[in-house]
Amino acid sequence: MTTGFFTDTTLCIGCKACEVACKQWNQLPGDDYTFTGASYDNTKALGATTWRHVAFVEQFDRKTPQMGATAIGERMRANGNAETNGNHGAPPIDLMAIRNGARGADTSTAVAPRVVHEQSGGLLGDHRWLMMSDVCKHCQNAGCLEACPTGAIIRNEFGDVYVQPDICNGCGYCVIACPFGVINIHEEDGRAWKCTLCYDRQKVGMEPACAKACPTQSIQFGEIEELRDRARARVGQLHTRGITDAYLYGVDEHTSVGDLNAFFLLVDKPAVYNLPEQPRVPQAQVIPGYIATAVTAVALGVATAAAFLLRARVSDQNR
Amino acid sequence: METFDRPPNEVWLPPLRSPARPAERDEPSVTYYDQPMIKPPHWKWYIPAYFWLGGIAGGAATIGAAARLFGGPVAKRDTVRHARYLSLALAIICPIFLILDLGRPERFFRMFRVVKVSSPLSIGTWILSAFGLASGALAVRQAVEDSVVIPRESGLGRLLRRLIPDAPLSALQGILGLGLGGYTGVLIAVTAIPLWAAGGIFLGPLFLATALASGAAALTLLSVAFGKRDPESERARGTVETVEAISAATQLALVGARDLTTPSRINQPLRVGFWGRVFRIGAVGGGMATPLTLRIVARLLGPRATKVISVIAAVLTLLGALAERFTIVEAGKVSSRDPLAYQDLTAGAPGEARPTAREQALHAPQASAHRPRIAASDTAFDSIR
Repeated sequence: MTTGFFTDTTLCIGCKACEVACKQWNQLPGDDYTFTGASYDNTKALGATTWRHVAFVEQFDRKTPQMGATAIGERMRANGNAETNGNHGAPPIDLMAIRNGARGADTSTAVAPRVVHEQSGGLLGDHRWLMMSDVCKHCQNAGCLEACPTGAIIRNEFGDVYVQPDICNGCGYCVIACPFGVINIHEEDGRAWKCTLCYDRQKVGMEPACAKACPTQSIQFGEIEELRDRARARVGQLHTRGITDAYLYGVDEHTSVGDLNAFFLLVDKPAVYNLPEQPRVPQAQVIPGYIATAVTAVALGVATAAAFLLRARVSDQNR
Repeated sequence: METFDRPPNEVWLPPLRSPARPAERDEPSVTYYDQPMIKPPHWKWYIPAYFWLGGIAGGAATIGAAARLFGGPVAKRDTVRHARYLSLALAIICPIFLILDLGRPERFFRMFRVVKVSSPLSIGTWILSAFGLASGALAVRQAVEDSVVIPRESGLGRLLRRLIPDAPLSALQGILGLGLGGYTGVLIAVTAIPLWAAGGIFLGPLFLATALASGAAALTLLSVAFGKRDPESERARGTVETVEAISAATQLALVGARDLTTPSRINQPLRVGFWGRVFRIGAVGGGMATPLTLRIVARLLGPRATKVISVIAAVLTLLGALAERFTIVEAGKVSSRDPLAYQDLTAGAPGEARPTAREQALHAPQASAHRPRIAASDTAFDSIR
């Protein structure tokens, strides 16, 4: 049986209960009290002691038809994007204009026209606030697992990628082999750590701490095929309700990384959530690399041998 | 798509677009508050220093083996001796550097649990270990030949010379030396770091050529310092210098090929900034082009002018190799902090990596009306309890 996470970002409310539950259950030390000043996200990224990370994306720059009077609105109309002039009933809170006015800038912040699908007239109007609880993806073709020179990183009986702390010697090669920047070396401990998908809890039939703590079922744990079906259905449901940006990241992938045991439902392009558009497993390069190096080795080896052979022959003739 | 405002003091690279993605050039870049998408290597200075020393060891061993198997009498004697002692000395230092860089140095032996083709680090561990053993055996044999500690004609000396096969072991050491010089390049190419992964196919060959060049340079210096001054010795050194020149030319070709095939945004850390300058001026200009030019000039001037030029060129090659190792590692750290470079590396057209949102919706199954509020496994546990 393969287990995994389905993280539905449309349900995430950014409460960070998953971050806290993960830290508590896995007895991970707290992060520094850093203040990014950029958003509610002061965790910043996954790491050796942070195995769940809630990303906050504040899209208050989304352009709306109420911007008709601004240069951006003019540009949109010039582009002939009729949909942006659609009937959104949102009150014309022109944050952009206010901001631009305050800055004295005008068109420098212009963005490409886009269709605003979300309901208008709500609390946020045409602006939206995306949250995503990020986690180790437990890739089908895991870069860290392939890179590990000690065999410390294994695929366990639940089909998840697990670092055996009693084997790991902290070489750090997995850190740079991870295409998602998940695993990291703990500086004091010296070993590599990442999400275990609560291996210990799964062993006794419990669901992982983050999924258990999630109050909105944004994080769902279960058997991977069942989760995928549920997620695919959720995409259809969201599309019928007008969220036509919704798509699954990590299911039916055509990438070298393959499908992800922890996959996501997103409503904007992956880079918005700090995810790569087309992740590549680094080991796809290993055989070409070996071959290129071997060819060079033969060429330079022959050249070296030839240099000595020719010179030896010359000195024989001189004698 | 939206842009986030970048705080001016955190912009470390000009927002250039890669020419590799002309279709997306009009689209403003999106990052998550400029947070890196991948983690930097935690390597300390030990690793680039090891790349340098291991390269010298591998290159010197390869040249020593070629001299032993194909060289004239002086090359067989002097070049081989220098190469063997140098290889052993470096083969002792290199593992120490590698072990010190581990997060848990006392667990270094865990590297010997597996042989993993997918991990150049694992393959490299085995290459380095075998190389160390071969170098040790050959250095012992050389010491016996030179009557160091154990006299050549003593009983133990004869036994050791019989036990340690000279030519086959030399050939093995030479082949392992080539592997030792080249695997490090493959090792860094097989990562998510954009600077190393893009154009990574050239890194193994480049590291190998650098290894051979720096090994030859080290042997040149040893030959000037300890070799005899007769014409035959000069000639043997000349051969080593020829190898160095060939390697330098190979290096230049590979650096050029890598530069041309790497998208500009990804290649930025090696083009601009401090490490870019050190790489272009120090490693490529000072460590490859200048020594190569000096070698050609020396060849044209004839044997008289060669010695001083030889030493200068060899020192430049060694320093250039050192600069190359450090700049590539450090520029890789810079590259890992650049989310746009990683986006370039992992770029894909819509629908290329996964079905588009529309396609996914078209194939979506019907949602079930009821979903259990608690995961099944959790309920099962509750009932067990």
